[in-house]
Amino acid sequence: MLAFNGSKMYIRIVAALSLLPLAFAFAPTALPATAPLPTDYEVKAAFLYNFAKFVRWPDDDAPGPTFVLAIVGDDPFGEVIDRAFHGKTVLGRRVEIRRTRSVREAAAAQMAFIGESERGHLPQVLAALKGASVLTVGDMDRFADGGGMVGFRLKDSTVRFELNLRELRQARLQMSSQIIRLAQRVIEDGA
Amino acid sequence: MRGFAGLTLRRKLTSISVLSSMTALVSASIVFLVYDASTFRERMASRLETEAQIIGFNTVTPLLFNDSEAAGTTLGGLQAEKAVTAAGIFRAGEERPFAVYARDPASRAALRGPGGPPRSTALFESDQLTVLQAVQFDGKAIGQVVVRASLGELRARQRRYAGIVLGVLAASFLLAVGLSRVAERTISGPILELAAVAGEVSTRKDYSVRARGQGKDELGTLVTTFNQMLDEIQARNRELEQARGDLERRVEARTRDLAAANKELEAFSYSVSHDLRAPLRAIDGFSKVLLSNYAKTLDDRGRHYLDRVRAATQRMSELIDDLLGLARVGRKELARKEVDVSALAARVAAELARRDAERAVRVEIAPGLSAHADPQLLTIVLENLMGNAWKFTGKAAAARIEVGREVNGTGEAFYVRDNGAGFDMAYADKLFGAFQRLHLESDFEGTGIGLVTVQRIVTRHGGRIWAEGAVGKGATFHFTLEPKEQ
Repeated sequence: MLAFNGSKMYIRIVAALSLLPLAFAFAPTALPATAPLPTDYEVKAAFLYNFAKFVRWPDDDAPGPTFVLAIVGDDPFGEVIDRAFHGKTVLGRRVEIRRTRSVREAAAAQMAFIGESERGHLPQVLAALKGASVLTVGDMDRFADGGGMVGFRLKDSTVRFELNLRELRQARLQMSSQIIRLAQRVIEDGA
Repeated sequence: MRGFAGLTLRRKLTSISVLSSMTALVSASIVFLVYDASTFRERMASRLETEAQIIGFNTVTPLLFNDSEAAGTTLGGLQAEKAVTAAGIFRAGEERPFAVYARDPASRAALRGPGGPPRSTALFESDQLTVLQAVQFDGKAIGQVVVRASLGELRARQRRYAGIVLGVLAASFLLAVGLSRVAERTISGPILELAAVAGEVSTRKDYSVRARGQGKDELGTLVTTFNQMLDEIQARNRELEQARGDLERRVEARTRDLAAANKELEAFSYSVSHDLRAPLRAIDGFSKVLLSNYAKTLDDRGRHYLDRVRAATQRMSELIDDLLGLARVGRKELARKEVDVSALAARVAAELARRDAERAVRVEIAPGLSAHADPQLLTIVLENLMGNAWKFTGKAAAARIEVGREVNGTGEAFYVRDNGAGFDMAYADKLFGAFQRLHLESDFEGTGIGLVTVQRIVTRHGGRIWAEGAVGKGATFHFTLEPKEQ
């Protein structure tokens, strides 16, 4: 684990150093790059936490011991997600990250990230989570159109997202309008 | 610039009222301007702080989701705020903006992150207001809203207000001047009138003028009192004039009485003297007959007594002659003409020398002496003074008489000086009294009428006579023949 971590750090330092002249060339008045540009998955990991902060669950008033984030299928984040949630709380609870392939286990979580590996049987996975008040997030194409709630997509190489309000409402989840207005596309009721 | 004290009363009154009203107005305006400016700044800061708070609230998710476009849209709401020149959202600690709104490129270029941890405050600079608002999420400051507004509106407002204030001041100044011009007349009017009347009184000595003025205030009282004062002065003047007239009339009457009495006295003494002559002539004639026809029947003692009678008679005759001369001098009309005093003195000296040829007296007469006087009377003066000098130098070793003119303390005066017996200055006042004699008859004969006559002549010419001397050291008689020059 340590070695893995170290090699990752090494890569990032090299990347940062190689980007330094570029940073100066494009932004001569900017500060020297103190942090390297985050990867898409670092951004997505941060977004997951942010989504959690702006959603209200129907069982807010009956909290379990932890807030569970299930990563269904292959894990694209690696330790990035652990770091993103490290020391943070949602609904006043410590965040527990469960990597699983079991849809049943995912249905017990508050939030589920459904990876690219589940593309083949997405309808089954989503159907299994129906009525369980689980915020579903995915980064495969047309995730929201396919019955997911929050779908990541890239626009001009920046991470953006789409929302399916119908699914959110059916799961009795309330999403803050502050998030809704940032969505690239919103699938309304009956759309 | 002249001082306030140099202004006229009217200007003073006007200045005072204009100055006080202007002072009040200016201080009120200054307070108003300062208050308005501070209120305006407060209101502006408070409004922009509210805006910044709203922006801060709406910027949380754009920052979290890295959506600078959404943040820019939020900032775009500031377009409604005319004063805002630029606004920006910065990630905590970054200097490059996350999202920017600006009215023009210059304002955009000037916008920088404040650096350091995000904070919420309003900073006034000379020409702009910067409002900072921290963006909070999850108990942390994740960003900084910066709203920059131009204070141009405040400056324009201040300029506009200053213009209005100046206009109001100018208008009030004119109004105040006009009003105080009208108002001051009620005070300065009576005073100026009073001053004019007082000036007229003092320059023309006309106490009949009166100040006009009514009113029941102090000025009215002043005018009334002033007029009463003039009344008083006029009344006093009339009394004084009356008293002076009375006095003049009384003096005139007295002078007339005195002249009449004097004339009567002169006439009396003249007739007495004249009437005394007849019996004296009888005594003289009969004593002469007695001495020539009955000399043989009388013994030596009888003849001696008869001689004494005749001598006394002779002397009495001289006295009477002198008294008549004195009376004549008083009665004679004064006929002035140019007189050669030197020549006259020389003739008198020659006559004296002829009558008393045995004596050798040195007489020195200054040449070229002249006077504007009555020649006959001046002759009498010189005869008496030089005769006296001749007489009183009778016992001197080397008799000398000087006649001349010299300047002394009171002006130019003639003098007759001798080196004879002289007199004691203690008795100088008795010299010119009738029948007064300072010497024994046995030493120097004389009637005592001479100097009285001289004094009367000098006085009638309007002149003055005085003498100085010392016992045994001669005497000097000074006299003038003209009234003393003014």
